[in-house]
Amino acid sequence: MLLVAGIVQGVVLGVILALVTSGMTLIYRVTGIINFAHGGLMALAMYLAYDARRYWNVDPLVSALAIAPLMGVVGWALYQAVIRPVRRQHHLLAVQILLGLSFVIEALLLMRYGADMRTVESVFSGRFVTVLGVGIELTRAVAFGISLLGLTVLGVALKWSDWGRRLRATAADELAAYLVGISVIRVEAWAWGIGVGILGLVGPVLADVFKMTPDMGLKYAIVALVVLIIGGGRTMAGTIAGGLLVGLSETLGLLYLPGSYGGLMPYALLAAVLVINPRAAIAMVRGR
Amino acid sequence: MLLDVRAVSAGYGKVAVLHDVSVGVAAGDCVAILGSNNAGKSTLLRVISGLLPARGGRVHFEGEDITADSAGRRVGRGLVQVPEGRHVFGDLTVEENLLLGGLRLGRGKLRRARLAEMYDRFPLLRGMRLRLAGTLSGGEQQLVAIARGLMADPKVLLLDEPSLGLSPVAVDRVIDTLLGVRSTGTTMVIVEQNVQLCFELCSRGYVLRQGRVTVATSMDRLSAEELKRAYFA
Amino acid sequence: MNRVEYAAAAVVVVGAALPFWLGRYWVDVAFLAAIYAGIASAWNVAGGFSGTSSFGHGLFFGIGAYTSGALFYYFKTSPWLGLAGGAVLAALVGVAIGWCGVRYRIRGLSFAVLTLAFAEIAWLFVSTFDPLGASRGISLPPAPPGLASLQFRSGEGFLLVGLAFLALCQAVAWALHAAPLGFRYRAVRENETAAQAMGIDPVFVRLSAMALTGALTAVGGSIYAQYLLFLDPRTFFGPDVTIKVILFTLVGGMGSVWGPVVGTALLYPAGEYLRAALGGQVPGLDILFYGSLVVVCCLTFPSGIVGSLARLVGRRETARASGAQSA
Repeated sequence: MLLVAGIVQGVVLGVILALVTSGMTLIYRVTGIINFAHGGLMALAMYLAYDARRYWNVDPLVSALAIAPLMGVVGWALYQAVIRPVRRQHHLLAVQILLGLSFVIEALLLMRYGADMRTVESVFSGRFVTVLGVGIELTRAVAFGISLLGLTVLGVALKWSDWGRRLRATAADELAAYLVGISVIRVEAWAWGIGVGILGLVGPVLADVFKMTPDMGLKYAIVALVVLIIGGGRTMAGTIAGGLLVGLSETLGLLYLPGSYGGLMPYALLAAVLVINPRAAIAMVRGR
Repeated sequence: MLLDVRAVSAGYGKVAVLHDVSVGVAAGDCVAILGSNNAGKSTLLRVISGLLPARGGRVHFEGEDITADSAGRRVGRGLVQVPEGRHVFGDLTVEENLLLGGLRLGRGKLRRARLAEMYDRFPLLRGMRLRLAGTLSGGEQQLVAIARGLMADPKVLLLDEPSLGLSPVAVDRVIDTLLGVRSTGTTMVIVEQNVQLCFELCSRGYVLRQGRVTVATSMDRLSAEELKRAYFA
Repeated sequence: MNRVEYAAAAVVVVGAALPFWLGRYWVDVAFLAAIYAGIASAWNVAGGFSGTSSFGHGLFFGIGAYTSGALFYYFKTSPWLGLAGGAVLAALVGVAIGWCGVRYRIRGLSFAVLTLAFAEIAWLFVSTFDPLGASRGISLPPAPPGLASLQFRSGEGFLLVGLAFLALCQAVAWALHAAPLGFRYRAVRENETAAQAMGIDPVFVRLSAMALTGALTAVGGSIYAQYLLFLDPRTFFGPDVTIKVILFTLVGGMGSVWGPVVGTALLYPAGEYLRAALGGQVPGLDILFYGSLVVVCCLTFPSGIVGSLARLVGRRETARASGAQSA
């Protein structure tokens, strides 16, 4: 019974993490850059939902519909303003810029909202559902459902639309992408827009699931990076597998290992994956 | 002239590669660019397709000045390059490669029809349409690359070393394929080390030496002496 | 070293003398800046010289602090012994991680992420491991002040030790830069295959770089632990130290001997000032300062302050030389 509970909780967490990471994977595949501001941008989206609730009393599940396109514009602008100028330079430079940005977001959130932990109530808060005899918070279950939906839509769009083909083509071979008439810069901007826009969708939904503090950004950027690498960093299917592995290993680790050693499991898994198959990890070279 | 390159200069960084190169291509022509390694042949092709900006001179296409157009806009006009080393989209299926080649035809019936036409012309590709292009042999990939270029229904097809790194059997297949392409009236510009291939396909030839055009004549009048000088000087 | 680097060194020496005159508060700031500068320099030895970037220097920092601190706490071992032991342990761990990278061909950003993974593991482990105080931390007992216990009654004593640590790091960095070994480091950074063809062993370069950077960082950790007299997992094993030193190094100039020190000397006191002067009313101002500055610096002069200045001076000297020639 304990095992079933662990598996259910792990799968729910895993799918949520997979959607959070999917944007990072998209950005990495198309532009070759690890978005270290990913967690910070998610925190920003969560706090926007907090404001929407406080000032206009809008449920986070509703405000997500407005915050998602807003974050999409933020991602697009971010690409144009700071990533595009350094796209041909040492990858550490982009990493450092994004880390710096993560700091800026953290500082602004701290100034505006203070360091206290906050949550945003939605209509589902405080209720539970039972799945396979395991009780889960309803907000978490809803986040799971939305994540599943988001991953499906993204996967279908990437696989079957011209838009998705353009993105995958640019990720596969930049030169050839130019030669079939793809505007590579526009595709890269799209990847940033969608990749960050996803955070605008998932952030508000998670505002009552994860604890919200201004300094949460870096932690979730690292979690997403772990999911990305464990999933191989190439495909959405891999990202989902990575999310599930991280979710399950952490949940089961916390259940069965003494103390909070279970929290180590995702990182141990990461080290193991890097050692077993470093090529599956990040080569930092595009189009290979 | 369908494609008119007028006194173009180009280079990389501080290195000048092309000096005042002029090339004219009439509709229906098949033009060969000949010359030894680093004579500037591929650079010329890159300038024509818009991958590399010209530092001097103009490029005209269908009577319009396209010197300032990006590579993407030139593809939109029907000036399409098949790159050296094939550069198929390895993670994508053969069919997806072809669909991307036909981006300029839009999403609709036109592209579907063109795709069916390609499969008729290259039955081999129909059989492997769902395979990842990266898993094919070099010769098969070259076929995919050429078909991808043709998907755009190009007015001029630029080919950069189509036989490079292929087995003799695969080279023969490429020549057959390109003969078929020529017979449909598609204008072609070919950069190639394999002189045999050029003689079989092309009507006119330009010889480049150290970034300058030294000979411009029809292929049957190109003397062995001139060729030898072009490649071994 | 070129003229810009000598000038930078002079500025740093004057800057180090300044706090003795400015008074108590600035002495503390200068001590912390010296520790950060030393660690930034140590990071630069691996990341800047040999191209072996690490995102996990908190691991070495923590190993140094916890080795000397725990030995001091449990056995009253002299912190000097603990410091040496921590350095050796960190060097070994550095070699082990470096070996993982070599053995499994993990390079570049992948390697940096591997170091991050190990640092996170260590952080979470220590946060849970009771004998090391878990997440509560350990308070170190005060000892009679003096050089033997590495505890001092006044900040000046700590500052002198901190500056000695910085001098050690700079001596290592400078020697490495000037010695043939430094050439081998740069060769591996620029092109590993070509370096190998020249007979340079990249395995030795990577492992020695990791050992050096690990040992020096651990020494900084030990000294800092004696200053704080409190060990907690977040401060020592957390990612903050790593992020800060990379930031300082990039702004100052990665791969140059004095770049990391200049970067720290400029950024750290300014950030501390913002936190102390305005942190009460506006929390997070120092973070905002660091964050926006690094974005601006990376976009405007990607080779860092020292790198950009050196290029500027170099260009002027070339111009003067060619002018003299033509005249």
